[in-house]
Amino acid sequence: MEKQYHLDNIYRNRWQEYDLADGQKFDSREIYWRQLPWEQVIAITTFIKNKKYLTHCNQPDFKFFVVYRWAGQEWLNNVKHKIAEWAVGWSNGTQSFMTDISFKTGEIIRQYVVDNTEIAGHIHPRVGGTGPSLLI
Amino acid sequence: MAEPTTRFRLIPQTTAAADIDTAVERLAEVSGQSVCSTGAGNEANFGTIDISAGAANSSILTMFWDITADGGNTLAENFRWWLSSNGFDLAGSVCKFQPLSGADQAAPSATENYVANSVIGSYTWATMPEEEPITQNLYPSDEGSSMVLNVASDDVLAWAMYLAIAESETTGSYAGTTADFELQFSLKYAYS
Repeated sequence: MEKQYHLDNIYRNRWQEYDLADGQKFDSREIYWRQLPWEQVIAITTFIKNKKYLTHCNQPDFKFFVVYRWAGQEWLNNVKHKIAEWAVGWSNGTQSFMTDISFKTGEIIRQYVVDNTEIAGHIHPRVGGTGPSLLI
Repeated sequence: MAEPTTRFRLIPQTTAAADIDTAVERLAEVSGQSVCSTGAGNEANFGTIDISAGAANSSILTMFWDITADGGNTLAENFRWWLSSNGFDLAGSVCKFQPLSGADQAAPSATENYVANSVIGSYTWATMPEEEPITQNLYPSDEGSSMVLNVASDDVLAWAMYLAIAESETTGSYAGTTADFELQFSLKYAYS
């Protein structure tokens, strides 16, 4: 029987799993990522619409992971589009290497490098970010 | 976590600076405000621009944007605003904009303080980008790069904008998806 989650419906087919160095695994449907000991996360697996993306820590200059979501509204070719993307990536401490994944389709929309100063609030305070600390 | 709920508001030009010089005032209902959306009749309206005697400017609009329900998230940042489509035929017809603070910044840098009954000379204007900017170009009124979310946002984004229309621009009613007269804005932000 499929496990029931308390979170909103949009997460029924969209979630992330966080692997910690000590072997523990957490699920974004059960815990808010800011509540995790972020410096111990060694892999993030993103599931969207039957697609699965592994973000690992194998890069030699890996420092920590970065996750956030994009929202808003944009017009393309005279058609209004709702922006709904999950950004997941890793950082070397000064820049983050991000992949934006469509919440609607699970397809990769773009990959880019962003200075950490521009996303400081989305970097976990345990690894130097300015966002709120909610560690439990 | 659910996506936050947001709103755009058009603030009367006559609003006294003292009425919006705190975050609490900016987040509360501003007298005469109108909530804007893409629905017919709800759009921010630049009014009629008379170019019969040459290039002319629209009236200035002062806009607020904020988050009214956080969806369980705690922070929003990286706010990007652009004129995604316009039907202007002449390159000289553009939208100008300036990020604002609510008149409570001692030394604004990324923004300028709000001025009541502003005229073109009240602010330093930039041409609004016509594609998604690669970095943040709107700021919370306190000039922080991010908004803390706790049920709602802790401040608003504020900006002023107007249309500068070139002489000999094609006349008509520019709005929404009207063929050859499009006028559409986009906003994108990151939250977590």
